[in-house]
Amino acid sequence: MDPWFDDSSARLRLTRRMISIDGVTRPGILHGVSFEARPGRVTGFLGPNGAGKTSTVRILLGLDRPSSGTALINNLPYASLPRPLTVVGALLDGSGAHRARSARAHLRWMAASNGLSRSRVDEVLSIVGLSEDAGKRAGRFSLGMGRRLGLAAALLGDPPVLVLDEPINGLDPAGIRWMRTFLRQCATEGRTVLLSSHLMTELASTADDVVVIDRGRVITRGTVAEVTAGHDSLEEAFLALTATPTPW
Amino acid sequence: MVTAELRKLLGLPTAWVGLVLGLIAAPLLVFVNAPALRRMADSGQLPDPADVGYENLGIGLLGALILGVVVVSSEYTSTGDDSPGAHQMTSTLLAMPGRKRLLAAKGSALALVVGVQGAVTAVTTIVLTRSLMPFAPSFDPVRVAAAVLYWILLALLAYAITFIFRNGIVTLTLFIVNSSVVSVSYLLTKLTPLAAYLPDIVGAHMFLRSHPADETIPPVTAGVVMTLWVGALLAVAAFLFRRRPA
Amino acid sequence: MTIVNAEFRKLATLPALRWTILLTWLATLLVAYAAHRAAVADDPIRLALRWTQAGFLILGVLSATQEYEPGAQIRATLLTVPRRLPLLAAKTATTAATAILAALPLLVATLWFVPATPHPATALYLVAVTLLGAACGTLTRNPLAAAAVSLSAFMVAFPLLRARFPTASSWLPDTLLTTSSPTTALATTVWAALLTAAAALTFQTRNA
Repeated sequence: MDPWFDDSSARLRLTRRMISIDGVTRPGILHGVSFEARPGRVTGFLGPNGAGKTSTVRILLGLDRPSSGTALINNLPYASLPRPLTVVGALLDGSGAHRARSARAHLRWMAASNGLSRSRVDEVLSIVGLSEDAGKRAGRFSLGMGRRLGLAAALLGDPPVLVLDEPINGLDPAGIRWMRTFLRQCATEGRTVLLSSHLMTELASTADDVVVIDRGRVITRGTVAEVTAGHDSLEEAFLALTATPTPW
Repeated sequence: MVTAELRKLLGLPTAWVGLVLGLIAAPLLVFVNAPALRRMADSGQLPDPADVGYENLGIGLLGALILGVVVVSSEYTSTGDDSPGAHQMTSTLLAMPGRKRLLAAKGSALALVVGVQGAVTAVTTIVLTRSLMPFAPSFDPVRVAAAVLYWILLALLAYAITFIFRNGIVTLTLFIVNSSVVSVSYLLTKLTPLAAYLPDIVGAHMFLRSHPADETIPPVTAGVVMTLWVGALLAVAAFLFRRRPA
Repeated sequence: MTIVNAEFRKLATLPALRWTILLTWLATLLVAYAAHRAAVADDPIRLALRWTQAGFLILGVLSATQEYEPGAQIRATLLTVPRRLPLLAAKTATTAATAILAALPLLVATLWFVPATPHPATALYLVAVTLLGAACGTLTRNPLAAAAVSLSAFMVAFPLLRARFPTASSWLPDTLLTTSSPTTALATTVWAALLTAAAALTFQTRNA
């Protein structure tokens, strides 16, 4: 019996918004990765550079194919979701916008592809604080602005599930604090948040649950308290668990 | 500086595509054209054998052209998805802040590579042609040198135009369309005889002797006009390069 | 329909495509005028398109490779529409429609030179050329490479092959522009369909 669930009816209800990754394998990169991310919680996906975090996220989002295993959202593979933006919001590296297109034009075609209203475009632009720069070409955006545009795209369909790969890369301190508050609020609203990062201190203050991956294998998972138990901090726990010999 | 630029150029996979293409295209074309030409010569339909072999050199220019384009476009290609505004030119300018000297160093590296490539290709092509078709003109070092110079100048022209537009597609389209069997420049000579002084047509006068265009321009004049074109466009490129933020 | 709508928005908000179409129009008219001055042809626009079809190739290339330029738009695209074959079908349809929009003014311009009805085969041809460019773009994922390959094929390789093998020339994709016959029309269509299918297969199976 899974120790995270003791009520089977609750589990049934929760799987409807759950991310479940089961035995995902890609030769040389991932070796049977399995974990879940539950609604109302921020799940931190933690691992050193090259551990397989991005590969796992890309497989979850249907961008890459696993050689075996399944990655499901609401019990469906991403490619089978009818209007995916209304179910999952994803932020990967890069804004995803062509550099010659304005931020607004980028969000408008994305909205059109999922039958979302145009007014929602202006809403998400104001949520991430890009209303002023909406007419600017994406190629002229700074790194931080590009990340915020990517986040705006993720929020377009007001999705119950958020998948974010290294979301605070390139954000300034105010942006990092904003992101932390925002993700906590999403979880409070009952959304499922999967947050991959190699920054332990950041995850320690944002995540409820942690999945630690190293060299393509999940080496531990549980709540932040469970994973940290026996160590001074999450960072210490992480370094002890991964113990990868590094040249520095 | 030239060594650094040479290393950068030869480290690009696309540059090798241009090198190989330039080296094999012209000799290959000799084989493709040989049977038809031999038939024509046997039946006495070949009016003027003066350009047999040399006319095949034109196609190898595609290789020189690709080199001229990638030497610039590689600098302006974005280095990552996270930062569409970042490109190699920034690092290049940090390492070599003198922009005019950088432009010259890049041009010299390009001219050197294309010169070697052109010399090898031209000699191979002409010797091959002679062995396949005895009626072809004999090996003439002056004409071969003129052809190599034409290659270098066209590569520099592509280099200057790509620098001006900071986009390789414009240059590629312009030059490949013009290297088709009948060039657009040639069609434009129908509008005004002055079009014969467009760089690609005038340049061909440097090493070809029989011309489809009515105008006949002496090789030396042709070389001078061609050099003026390249010089003028390089000056525009240098002017814009100094003015623009990196 | 929502996918087609989104793909149209993408093409409409790409400045490079507007420039390509505009320059193609100008170049075609200029070359047609030059050709018309040189010798009164049946259809100077059709003659000029032997060169300026390059613009349609570039149109196809850019509409496909916009996805792969820095910023990785392809990921945003696949996140919005994860089913890849319907996505590519929508892309092909919008690219073809754009090609028709770009071709129409040129067909009409024929009347300006000669009192003849414009050839419908020209429109079919230009759509096919655009789709061939797009397929090259999808296969290479690089605008420079796709432009170099497709332009070299249409401007250099095919004319050479035609001269070398005159009997097989009606099966080349670009013979339709000079000789309209059921065979050449079929050849052009088959080439465009085959290359689009190859692009679809690659797109379907590879990691984004």
